[in-house]
Amino acid sequence: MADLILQRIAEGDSEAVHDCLARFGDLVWSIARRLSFNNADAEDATQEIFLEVWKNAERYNPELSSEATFITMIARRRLIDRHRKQSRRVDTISIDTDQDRPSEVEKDVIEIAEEASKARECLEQLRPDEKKVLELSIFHQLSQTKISEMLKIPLGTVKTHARRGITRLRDMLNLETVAGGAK
Amino acid sequence: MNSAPNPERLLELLADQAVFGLDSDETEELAKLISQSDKKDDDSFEIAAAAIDLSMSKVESMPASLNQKLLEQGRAAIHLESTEDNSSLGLVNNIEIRDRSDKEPGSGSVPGTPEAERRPAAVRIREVIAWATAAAIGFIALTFWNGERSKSKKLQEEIAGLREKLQTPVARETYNQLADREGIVRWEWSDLKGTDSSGDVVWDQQSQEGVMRIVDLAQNNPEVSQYQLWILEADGRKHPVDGGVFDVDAEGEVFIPIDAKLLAGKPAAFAITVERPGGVVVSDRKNLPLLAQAPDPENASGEEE
Repeated sequence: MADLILQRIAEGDSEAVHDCLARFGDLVWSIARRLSFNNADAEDATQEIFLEVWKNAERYNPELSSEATFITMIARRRLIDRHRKQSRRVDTISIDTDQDRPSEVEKDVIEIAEEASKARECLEQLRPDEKKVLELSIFHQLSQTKISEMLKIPLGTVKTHARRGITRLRDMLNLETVAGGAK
Repeated sequence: MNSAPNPERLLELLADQAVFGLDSDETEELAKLISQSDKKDDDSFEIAAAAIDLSMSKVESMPASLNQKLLEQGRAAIHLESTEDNSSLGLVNNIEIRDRSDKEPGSGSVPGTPEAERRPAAVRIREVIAWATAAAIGFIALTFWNGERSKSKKLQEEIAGLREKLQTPVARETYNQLADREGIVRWEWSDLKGTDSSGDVVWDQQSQEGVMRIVDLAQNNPEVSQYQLWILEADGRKHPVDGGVFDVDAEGEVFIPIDAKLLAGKPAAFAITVERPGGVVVSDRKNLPLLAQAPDPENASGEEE
Protein backbone atom coordinates (compact mmCIF):
# COMPACT_ATOMS: atom_id res chain seq x y z
CA MET A 1 0.00 0.00 0.00
CA ALA A 2 2.41 2.64 -1.21
CA ASP A 3 0.00 5.56 -1.39
CA LEU A 4 -3.51 5.47 -0.07
CA ILE A 5 -5.61 7.11 -2.71
CA LEU A 6 -8.83 6.65 -0.78
CA GLN A 7 -7.35 8.39 2.22
CA ARG A 8 -6.41 11.35 0.04
CA ILE A 9 -9.94 11.45 -1.34
CA ALA A 10 -11.32 11.38 2.19
CA GLU A 11 -9.08 14.34 3.00
CA GLY A 12 -10.56 16.31 0.11
CA ASP A 13 -7.64 16.04 -2.31
CA SER A 14 -9.45 16.43 -5.62
CA GLU A 15 -6.35 15.33 -7.55
CA ALA A 16 -6.73 11.93 -5.92
CA VAL A 17 -9.86 11.48 -8.03
CA HIS A 18 -7.66 11.36 -11.10
CA ASP A 19 -5.30 8.87 -9.46
CA CYS A 20 -8.19 6.74 -8.29
CA LEU A 21 -9.70 6.58 -11.76
CA ALA A 22 -6.30 5.91 -13.30
CA ARG A 23 -5.69 3.00 -11.01
CA PHE A 24 -9.16 1.55 -10.48
CA GLY A 25 -11.31 2.98 -13.26
CA ASP A 26 -10.68 0.13 -15.65
CA LEU A 27 -11.24 -2.41 -12.91
CA VAL A 28 -14.63 -0.99 -11.93
CA TRP A 29 -15.63 -0.57 -15.55
CA SER A 30 -14.73 -4.20 -16.27
CA ILE A 31 -16.72 -5.49 -13.31
CA ALA A 32 -19.65 -3.27 -14.24
CA ARG A 33 -19.55 -4.42 -17.84
CA ARG A 34 -19.39 -8.05 -16.85
CA LEU A 35 -22.37 -7.75 -14.52
CA SER A 36 -24.51 -5.39 -16.60
CA PHE A 37 -26.90 -6.02 -19.45
CA ASN A 38 -25.25 -3.63 -21.88
CA ASN A 39 -22.71 -0.84 -22.10
CA ALA A 40 -25.20 1.91 -21.26
CA ASP A 41 -26.19 0.06 -18.13
CA ALA A 42 -22.53 -0.48 -17.27
CA GLU A 43 -21.86 3.25 -17.64
CA ASP A 44 -24.73 4.09 -15.29
CA ALA A 45 -23.52 1.50 -12.81
CA THR A 46 -19.94 2.76 -12.96
CA GLN A 47 -21.09 6.28 -12.13
CA GLU A 48 -23.13 5.03 -9.20
CA ILE A 49 -20.22 2.94 -7.93
CA PHE A 50 -17.79 5.83 -7.99
CA LEU A 51 -20.30 8.09 -6.25
CA GLU A 52 -20.30 5.49 -3.49
CA VAL A 53 -16.52 5.35 -3.55
CA TRP A 54 -16.15 9.12 -3.16
CA LYS A 55 -18.58 9.14 -0.32
CA ASN A 56 -17.21 6.12 1.51
CA ALA A 57 -13.50 6.70 1.01
CA GLU A 58 -13.09 7.67 4.64
CA ARG A 59 -14.33 4.26 5.73
CA TYR A 60 -11.51 2.44 4.03
CA ASN A 61 -9.35 0.53 6.48
CA PRO A 62 -6.02 -0.67 5.03
CA GLU A 63 -5.77 -3.31 7.74
CA LEU A 64 -8.80 -5.12 6.37
CA SER A 65 -8.18 -5.11 2.63
CA SER A 66 -6.41 -3.50 -0.24
CA GLU A 67 -7.99 -0.49 -1.88
CA ALA A 68 -8.79 -2.61 -4.94
CA THR A 69 -10.69 -5.11 -2.82
CA PHE A 70 -12.55 -2.36 -0.97
CA ILE A 71 -13.59 -0.75 -4.22
CA THR A 72 -14.54 -4.12 -5.67
CA MET A 73 -16.66 -4.73 -2.59
CA ILE A 74 -18.50 -1.45 -3.14
CA ALA A 75 -18.88 -2.25 -6.83
CA ARG A 76 -20.29 -5.70 -6.15
CA ARG A 77 -22.77 -4.34 -3.63
CA ARG A 78 -24.07 -1.78 -6.08
CA LEU A 79 -24.16 -4.19 -9.00
CA ILE A 80 -25.88 -6.96 -7.07
CA ASP A 81 -28.51 -4.44 -6.01
CA ARG A 82 -28.99 -3.22 -9.58
CA HIS A 83 -29.01 -6.75 -10.92
CA ARG A 84 -31.66 -7.83 -8.46
CA LYS A 85 -33.90 -4.87 -9.31
CA GLN A 86 -33.48 -5.33 -13.04
CA SER A 87 -33.98 -9.09 -12.87
CA ARG A 88 -37.35 -8.42 -11.36
CA ARG A 89 -38.32 -6.59 -14.52
CA VAL A 90 -36.53 -8.78 -17.03
CA ASP A 91 -37.52 -12.43 -16.96
CA THR A 92 -34.76 -13.79 -19.12
CA ILE A 93 -31.24 -12.75 -18.47
CA SER A 94 -28.72 -13.78 -20.99
CA ILE A 95 -25.39 -14.18 -19.34
CA ASP A 96 -22.79 -15.43 -21.70
CA THR A 97 -19.79 -16.22 -19.61
CA ASP A 98 -17.47 -15.23 -22.44
CA GLN A 99 -19.50 -12.35 -23.77
CA ASP A 100 -17.64 -9.91 -25.95
CA ARG A 101 -14.73 -9.25 -23.70
CA PRO A 102 -11.98 -7.84 -25.85
CA SER A 103 -9.02 -10.00 -24.99
CA GLU A 104 -6.54 -7.71 -26.69
CA VAL A 105 -6.90 -5.04 -24.03
CA GLU A 106 -7.30 -7.35 -21.07
CA LYS A 107 -4.70 -7.42 -18.39
CA ASP A 108 -4.46 -9.40 -15.25
CA VAL A 109 -5.78 -7.75 -12.14
CA ILE A 110 -3.51 -9.63 -9.76
CA GLU A 111 -0.97 -6.84 -9.92
CA ILE A 112 -3.30 -4.38 -8.22
CA ALA A 113 -4.60 -6.53 -5.40
CA GLU A 114 -2.57 -8.89 -3.35
CA GLU A 115 -5.69 -10.53 -1.93
CA ALA A 116 -6.62 -11.54 -5.45
CA SER A 117 -3.55 -13.70 -5.77
CA LYS A 118 -4.13 -15.23 -2.36
CA ALA A 119 -7.82 -15.73 -3.11
CA ARG A 120 -6.96 -17.55 -6.31
CA GLU A 121 -4.73 -19.95 -4.40
CA CYS A 122 -7.41 -20.48 -1.77
CA LEU A 123 -10.07 -21.02 -4.40
CA GLU A 124 -8.06 -23.91 -5.78
CA GLN A 125 -8.16 -25.55 -2.39
CA LEU A 126 -11.96 -25.66 -2.28
CA ARG A 127 -13.93 -28.73 -3.26
CA PRO A 128 -14.71 -28.64 -7.00
CA ASP A 129 -18.45 -28.22 -6.46
CA GLU A 130 -17.95 -25.37 -4.01
CA LYS A 131 -15.50 -23.69 -6.34
CA LYS A 132 -17.85 -24.03 -9.30
CA VAL A 133 -20.81 -22.56 -7.43
CA LEU A 134 -18.74 -19.62 -6.22
CA GLU A 135 -17.38 -18.94 -9.68
CA LEU A 136 -20.85 -18.95 -11.20
CA SER A 137 -22.37 -16.84 -8.46
CA ILE A 138 -19.61 -14.36 -7.69
CA PHE A 139 -17.96 -13.94 -11.05
CA HIS A 140 -20.94 -14.45 -13.35
CA GLN A 141 -23.61 -13.31 -10.88
CA LEU A 142 -25.90 -16.19 -11.74
CA SER A 143 -28.87 -16.71 -9.45
CA GLN A 144 -29.17 -19.73 -7.24
CA THR A 145 -31.95 -21.05 -9.47
CA LYS A 146 -29.88 -20.71 -12.62
CA ILE A 147 -26.92 -22.43 -11.01
CA SER A 148 -29.22 -25.20 -9.84
CA GLU A 149 -30.48 -25.66 -13.40
CA MET A 150 -27.06 -25.41 -14.94
CA LEU A 151 -25.34 -27.87 -12.60
CA LYS A 152 -28.44 -30.03 -12.20
CA ILE A 153 -28.28 -30.01 -8.45
CA PRO A 154 -31.01 -29.07 -5.94
CA LEU A 155 -31.36 -25.44 -4.93
CA GLY A 156 -30.57 -26.28 -1.34
CA THR A 157 -27.30 -27.86 -2.39
CA VAL A 158 -26.36 -24.71 -4.28
CA LYS A 159 -26.90 -22.67 -1.13
CA THR A 160 -24.91 -25.13 0.94
CA HIS A 161 -21.96 -25.16 -1.47
CA ALA A 162 -21.96 -21.38 -1.65
CA ARG A 163 -22.11 -20.88 2.10
CA ARG A 164 -19.50 -23.51 2.87
CA GLY A 165 -17.23 -22.29 0.10
CA ILE A 166 -17.30 -18.63 1.02
CA THR A 167 -16.91 -19.45 4.71
CA ARG A 168 -13.86 -21.63 4.02
CA LEU A 169 -12.37 -18.92 1.85
CA ARG A 170 -12.97 -16.32 4.49
CA ASP A 171 -11.22 -18.54 7.00
CA MET A 172 -8.32 -19.26 4.66
CA LEU A 173 -7.86 -15.56 4.02
CA ASN A 174 -7.89 -14.95 7.78
CA LEU A 175 -10.59 -12.38 7.30
CA GLU A 176 -12.71 -13.55 10.16
CA THR A 177 -10.23 -12.51 12.82
CA VAL A 178 -9.04 -9.42 11.00
CA ALA A 179 -12.49 -8.07 10.25
CA GLY A 180 -13.90 -9.14 13.57
CA GLY A 181 -16.39 -11.38 11.90
CA ALA A 182 -19.24 -12.94 13.71
CA LYS A 183 -18.61 -16.45 14.82
CA MET B 1 -18.72 -14.87 19.27
CA ASN B 2 -21.85 -12.80 19.29
CA SER B 3 -25.02 -12.39 21.22
CA ALA B 4 -27.42 -12.76 18.32
CA PRO B 5 -30.30 -15.07 19.12
CA ASN B 6 -29.62 -17.05 15.97
CA PRO B 7 -25.91 -16.81 15.08
CA GLU B 8 -26.09 -19.58 12.48
CA ARG B 9 -28.78 -17.75 10.57
CA LEU B 10 -26.79 -14.52 10.82
CA LEU B 11 -23.79 -16.23 9.22
CA GLU B 12 -25.97 -17.77 6.52
CA LEU B 13 -27.39 -14.40 5.60
CA LEU B 14 -23.98 -12.71 5.63
CA ALA B 15 -22.67 -15.44 3.33
CA ASP B 16 -25.71 -15.24 1.04
CA GLN B 17 -25.44 -11.46 0.92
CA ALA B 18 -21.83 -11.65 -0.20
CA VAL B 19 -22.41 -14.35 -2.80
CA PHE B 20 -25.91 -13.80 -4.19
CA GLY B 21 -27.29 -10.63 -2.62
CA LEU B 22 -30.43 -10.59 -0.54
CA ASP B 23 -34.06 -9.86 -1.31
CA SER B 24 -35.92 -7.29 0.75
CA ASP B 25 -37.21 -9.79 3.31
CA GLU B 26 -33.77 -11.26 3.85
CA THR B 27 -32.26 -7.77 4.05
CA GLU B 28 -34.74 -6.91 6.75
CA GLU B 29 -34.03 -10.14 8.58
CA LEU B 30 -30.29 -9.51 8.41
CA ALA B 31 -30.65 -5.96 9.68
CA LYS B 32 -32.66 -7.27 12.61
CA LEU B 33 -30.14 -9.97 13.45
CA ILE B 34 -27.26 -7.52 13.17
CA SER B 35 -29.02 -5.11 15.48
CA GLN B 36 -29.30 -7.91 18.03
CA SER B 37 -25.68 -8.89 17.59
CA ASP B 38 -22.61 -7.33 19.11
CA LYS B 39 -20.90 -7.59 15.72
CA LYS B 40 -22.06 -4.59 13.73
CA ASP B 41 -19.42 -4.46 11.07
CA ASP B 42 -18.65 -7.88 9.70
CA ASP B 43 -17.30 -7.28 6.21
CA SER B 44 -15.39 -10.53 6.11
CA PHE B 45 -17.68 -12.44 3.75
CA GLU B 46 -17.91 -9.56 1.32
CA ILE B 47 -14.18 -8.98 1.36
CA ALA B 48 -13.72 -12.68 0.57
CA ALA B 49 -16.22 -12.45 -2.28
CA ALA B 50 -14.53 -9.31 -3.60
CA ALA B 51 -11.15 -11.04 -3.45
CA ILE B 52 -12.52 -13.99 -5.43
CA ASP B 53 -14.03 -11.63 -7.94
CA LEU B 54 -10.70 -9.86 -8.29
CA SER B 55 -8.81 -13.12 -8.61
CA MET B 56 -10.78 -14.00 -11.73
CA SER B 57 -11.13 -10.53 -13.19
CA LYS B 58 -9.52 -9.23 -16.30
CA VAL B 59 -9.58 -5.54 -16.89
CA GLU B 60 -10.29 -3.64 -20.02
CA SER B 61 -10.06 0.04 -20.71
CA MET B 62 -12.88 2.31 -19.68
CA PRO B 63 -14.26 4.59 -22.41
CA ALA B 64 -12.48 7.92 -22.34
CA SER B 65 -15.78 9.83 -22.29
CA LEU B 66 -16.90 7.97 -19.17
CA ASN B 67 -13.56 8.54 -17.52
CA GLN B 68 -13.88 12.27 -18.14
CA LYS B 69 -17.42 12.30 -16.77
CA LEU B 70 -16.31 10.45 -13.64
CA LEU B 71 -13.40 12.80 -13.20
CA GLU B 72 -15.73 15.80 -13.25
CA GLN B 73 -18.27 14.15 -10.97
CA GLY B 74 -15.59 13.06 -8.52
CA ARG B 75 -13.98 16.47 -8.34
CA ALA B 76 -17.42 18.05 -7.97
CA ALA B 77 -18.34 15.71 -5.14
CA ILE B 78 -15.07 16.31 -3.31
CA HIS B 79 -15.22 20.04 -3.93
CA LEU B 80 -18.72 20.22 -2.53
CA GLU B 81 -17.88 18.11 0.48
CA SER B 82 -14.78 20.15 1.20
CA THR B 83 -16.87 23.31 1.45
CA GLU B 84 -18.96 21.94 4.25
CA ASP B 85 -16.54 23.20 6.87
CA ASN B 86 -16.84 26.74 5.58
CA SER B 87 -20.40 27.26 6.60
CA SER B 88 -23.06 25.81 8.78
CA LEU B 89 -25.94 27.64 7.15
CA GLY B 90 -28.47 24.92 6.45
CA LEU B 91 -30.00 26.30 3.30
CA VAL B 92 -32.24 24.03 1.33
CA ASN B 93 -31.32 23.37 -2.26
CA ASN B 94 -33.19 21.91 -5.16
CA ILE B 95 -31.24 18.67 -5.33
CA GLU B 96 -32.66 17.42 -2.10
CA ILE B 97 -35.42 14.90 -2.53
CA ARG B 98 -37.29 13.78 0.53
CA ASP B 99 -37.23 10.10 1.24
CA ARG B 100 -39.65 8.67 3.71
CA SER B 101 -39.13 5.10 2.70
CA ASP B 102 -37.95 2.76 5.39
CA LYS B 103 -37.81 -0.31 3.24
CA GLU B 104 -34.79 -2.40 2.43
CA PRO B 105 -32.45 -1.31 5.16
CA GLY B 106 -28.90 -1.78 4.08
CA SER B 107 -29.73 -2.26 0.45
CA GLY B 108 -26.85 -1.01 -1.60
CA SER B 109 -25.04 0.23 1.43
CA VAL B 110 -21.42 -0.24 2.12
CA PRO B 111 -20.93 -3.05 4.59
CA GLY B 112 -19.50 -2.43 7.95
CA THR B 113 -21.01 0.94 8.50
CA PRO B 114 -22.80 2.06 11.64
CA GLU B 115 -26.49 1.46 12.16
CA ALA B 116 -27.42 4.94 11.08
CA GLU B 117 -25.77 4.30 7.74
CA ARG B 118 -27.61 1.08 6.98
CA ARG B 119 -30.06 2.84 4.73
CA PRO B 120 -30.61 2.76 1.00
CA ALA B 121 -27.56 4.08 -0.75
CA ALA B 122 -29.58 6.54 -2.78
CA VAL B 123 -30.85 8.17 0.36
CA ARG B 124 -27.38 8.50 1.80
CA ILE B 125 -25.87 9.79 -1.41
CA ARG B 126 -28.66 12.30 -1.79
CA GLU B 127 -28.25 13.43 1.76
CA VAL B 128 -24.52 13.89 1.39
CA ILE B 129 -24.77 15.71 -1.89
CA ALA B 130 -27.71 17.77 -0.74
CA TRP B 131 -26.06 18.64 2.53
CA ALA B 132 -22.73 19.43 0.97
CA THR B 133 -24.40 21.52 -1.69
CA ALA B 134 -26.43 23.32 0.93
CA ALA B 135 -23.24 24.05 2.81
CA ALA B 136 -21.65 25.33 -0.37
CA ILE B 137 -24.61 27.57 -1.06
CA GLY B 138 -24.43 28.74 2.53
CA PHE B 139 -20.84 29.65 1.94
CA ILE B 140 -21.92 31.64 -1.10
CA ALA B 141 -24.51 33.48 0.96
CA LEU B 142 -21.92 34.29 3.59
CA THR B 143 -19.51 35.53 0.97
CA PHE B 144 -22.22 37.62 -0.62
CA TRP B 145 -23.09 39.40 2.59
CA ASN B 146 -19.44 40.08 3.16
CA GLY B 147 -19.60 42.26 0.09
CA GLU B 148 -17.69 40.02 -2.30
CA ARG B 149 -20.45 40.06 -4.83
CA SER B 150 -18.49 39.29 -7.93
CA LYS B 151 -16.70 36.40 -6.33
CA SER B 152 -19.98 35.14 -4.98
CA LYS B 153 -21.61 35.16 -8.39
CA LYS B 154 -18.73 33.28 -9.89
CA LEU B 155 -18.79 30.73 -7.11
CA GLN B 156 -22.53 30.41 -7.40
CA GLU B 157 -22.18 29.59 -11.08
CA GLU B 158 -19.49 27.10 -10.24
CA ILE B 159 -21.65 25.40 -7.64
CA ALA B 160 -24.59 25.32 -10.05
CA GLY B 161 -22.36 23.60 -12.56
CA LEU B 162 -21.12 21.11 -10.02
CA ARG B 163 -24.62 20.41 -8.87
CA GLU B 164 -25.71 19.69 -12.41
CA LYS B 165 -22.90 17.18 -12.79
CA LEU B 166 -24.11 15.31 -9.74
CA GLN B 167 -27.82 15.63 -10.34
CA THR B 168 -28.22 13.08 -13.12
CA PRO B 169 -26.71 10.04 -11.37
CA VAL B 170 -28.48 10.94 -8.14
CA ALA B 171 -31.83 11.39 -9.87
CA ARG B 172 -31.29 8.16 -11.78
CA GLU B 173 -30.73 6.28 -8.56
CA THR B 174 -33.82 7.87 -7.03
CA TYR B 175 -35.79 6.89 -10.11
CA ASN B 176 -34.66 3.28 -9.73
CA GLN B 177 -35.49 3.28 -6.07
CA LEU B 178 -38.95 4.74 -6.64
CA ALA B 179 -39.66 2.37 -9.51
CA ASP B 180 -38.78 -0.49 -7.22
CA ARG B 181 -41.28 0.50 -4.56
CA GLU B 182 -44.29 -1.72 -4.31
CA GLY B 183 -47.37 -0.36 -6.03
CA ILE B 184 -45.56 2.37 -7.94
CA VAL B 185 -46.51 2.52 -11.60
CA ARG B 186 -44.76 4.15 -14.52
CA TRP B 187 -46.53 6.87 -16.45
CA GLU B 188 -45.27 6.72 -19.99
CA TRP B 189 -44.77 9.92 -21.92
CA SER B 190 -46.76 10.48 -25.09
CA ASP B 191 -44.92 12.58 -27.62
CA LEU B 192 -47.32 15.28 -28.78
CA LYS B 193 -44.91 16.98 -31.17
CA GLY B 194 -43.79 14.01 -33.23
CA THR B 195 -40.18 14.30 -32.15
CA ASP B 196 -39.79 10.71 -30.97
CA SER B 197 -39.23 11.76 -27.39
CA SER B 198 -40.14 9.12 -24.85
CA GLY B 199 -39.60 8.03 -21.27
CA ASP B 200 -41.77 7.83 -18.22
CA VAL B 201 -42.53 9.22 -14.79
CA VAL B 202 -42.44 7.45 -11.46
CA TRP B 203 -44.40 9.17 -8.74
CA ASP B 204 -45.06 8.22 -5.14
CA GLN B 205 -48.21 10.01 -4.07
CA GLN B 206 -47.69 9.37 -0.39
CA SER B 207 -44.20 10.80 -0.16
CA GLN B 208 -44.80 13.28 -3.02
CA GLU B 209 -41.58 12.14 -4.64
CA GLY B 210 -41.09 11.60 -8.31
CA VAL B 211 -38.54 11.49 -11.06
CA MET B 212 -38.99 11.95 -14.79
CA ARG B 213 -37.03 9.82 -17.23
CA ILE B 214 -36.95 11.62 -20.54
CA VAL B 215 -35.34 10.31 -23.70
CA ASP B 216 -34.42 12.46 -26.67
CA LEU B 217 -36.22 15.65 -25.70
CA ALA B 218 -34.67 18.61 -27.48
CA GLN B 219 -32.06 20.50 -25.49
CA ASN B 220 -33.19 23.98 -24.48
CA ASN B 221 -31.32 27.23 -24.14
CA PRO B 222 -32.13 28.35 -20.57
CA GLU B 223 -31.75 31.97 -21.56
CA VAL B 224 -34.53 31.59 -24.13
CA SER B 225 -36.88 29.00 -22.69
CA GLN B 226 -37.18 26.31 -20.05
CA TYR B 227 -39.23 23.21 -19.61
CA GLN B 228 -41.82 23.16 -16.86
CA LEU B 229 -43.59 20.15 -15.40
CA TRP B 230 -47.24 20.26 -14.39
CA ILE B 231 -49.13 17.74 -12.28
CA LEU B 232 -52.77 17.64 -13.38
CA GLU B 233 -54.92 16.48 -10.53
CA ALA B 234 -57.81 14.07 -10.98
CA ASP B 235 -60.24 15.88 -8.75
CA GLY B 236 -58.33 18.68 -7.19
CA ARG B 237 -57.47 22.25 -7.98
CA LYS B 238 -58.57 23.91 -11.17
CA HIS B 239 -55.02 24.73 -12.12
CA PRO B 240 -52.35 22.04 -12.28
CA VAL B 241 -49.61 21.91 -9.67
CA ASP B 242 -46.27 23.37 -10.71
CA GLY B 243 -43.81 20.46 -10.79
CA GLY B 244 -40.77 22.63 -11.28
CA VAL B 245 -38.73 24.20 -14.05
CA PHE B 246 -35.90 22.26 -15.60
CA ASP B 247 -33.46 22.19 -18.48
CA VAL B 248 -32.47 19.42 -20.82
CA ASP B 249 -28.78 19.86 -21.39
CA ALA B 250 -27.80 16.45 -22.70
CA GLU B 251 -28.69 14.16 -25.54
CA GLY B 252 -30.38 10.84 -24.97
CA GLU B 253 -31.71 9.87 -21.57
CA VAL B 254 -31.96 12.34 -18.70
CA PHE B 255 -33.42 12.00 -15.22
CA ILE B 256 -35.13 15.01 -13.64
CA PRO B 257 -36.40 15.06 -10.05
CA ILE B 258 -39.92 16.42 -9.65
CA ASP B 259 -40.06 19.47 -7.45
CA ALA B 260 -43.77 19.92 -6.66
CA LYS B 261 -44.37 23.41 -5.32
CA LEU B 262 -47.61 22.44 -3.62
CA LEU B 263 -48.93 19.24 -2.14
CA ALA B 264 -50.27 17.45 -5.18
CA GLY B 265 -53.55 15.58 -5.04
CA LYS B 266 -54.23 12.35 -6.90
CA PRO B 267 -52.71 12.94 -10.33
CA ALA B 268 -54.51 12.37 -13.60
CA ALA B 269 -51.58 13.28 -15.81
CA PHE B 270 -48.17 14.88 -15.98
CA ALA B 271 -47.47 17.44 -18.63
CA ILE B 272 -44.32 19.19 -19.78
CA THR B 273 -44.63 22.62 -21.31
CA VAL B 274 -42.08 25.00 -22.78
CA GLU B 275 -42.13 28.31 -20.97
CA ARG B 276 -40.12 31.48 -20.61
CA PRO B 277 -36.99 31.28 -18.41
CA GLY B 278 -37.98 30.79 -14.78
CA GLY B 279 -41.34 29.29 -15.68
CA VAL B 280 -44.84 30.64 -15.28
CA VAL B 281 -47.52 30.50 -12.62
CA VAL B 282 -50.24 29.45 -15.04
CA SER B 283 -49.41 27.91 -18.38
CA ASP B 284 -51.35 28.51 -21.56
CA ARG B 285 -50.20 25.01 -22.62
CA LYS B 286 -49.60 26.18 -26.17
CA ASN B 287 -46.28 24.40 -26.35
CA LEU B 288 -46.75 21.02 -24.75
CA PRO B 289 -44.29 18.42 -26.06
CA LEU B 290 -44.88 15.59 -23.59
CA LEU B 291 -47.88 14.29 -21.71
CA ALA B 292 -48.10 11.25 -19.44
CA GLN B 293 -51.54 9.99 -18.59
CA ALA B 294 -52.45 7.50 -15.91
CA PRO B 295 -51.39 4.02 -17.03
CA ASP B 296 -54.36 2.57 -15.17
CA PRO B 297 -57.23 4.93 -14.39
CA GLU B 298 -58.18 2.80 -11.40
CA ASN B 299 -54.72 3.21 -9.96
CA ALA B 300 -53.80 6.66 -11.05
CA SER B 301 -52.37 7.69 -7.75
CA GLY B 302 -49.27 5.61 -8.26
CA GLU B 303 -49.49 4.06 -4.85
CA GLU B 304 -51.24 1.47 -2.84
CA GLU B 305 -53.76 2.85 -0.46
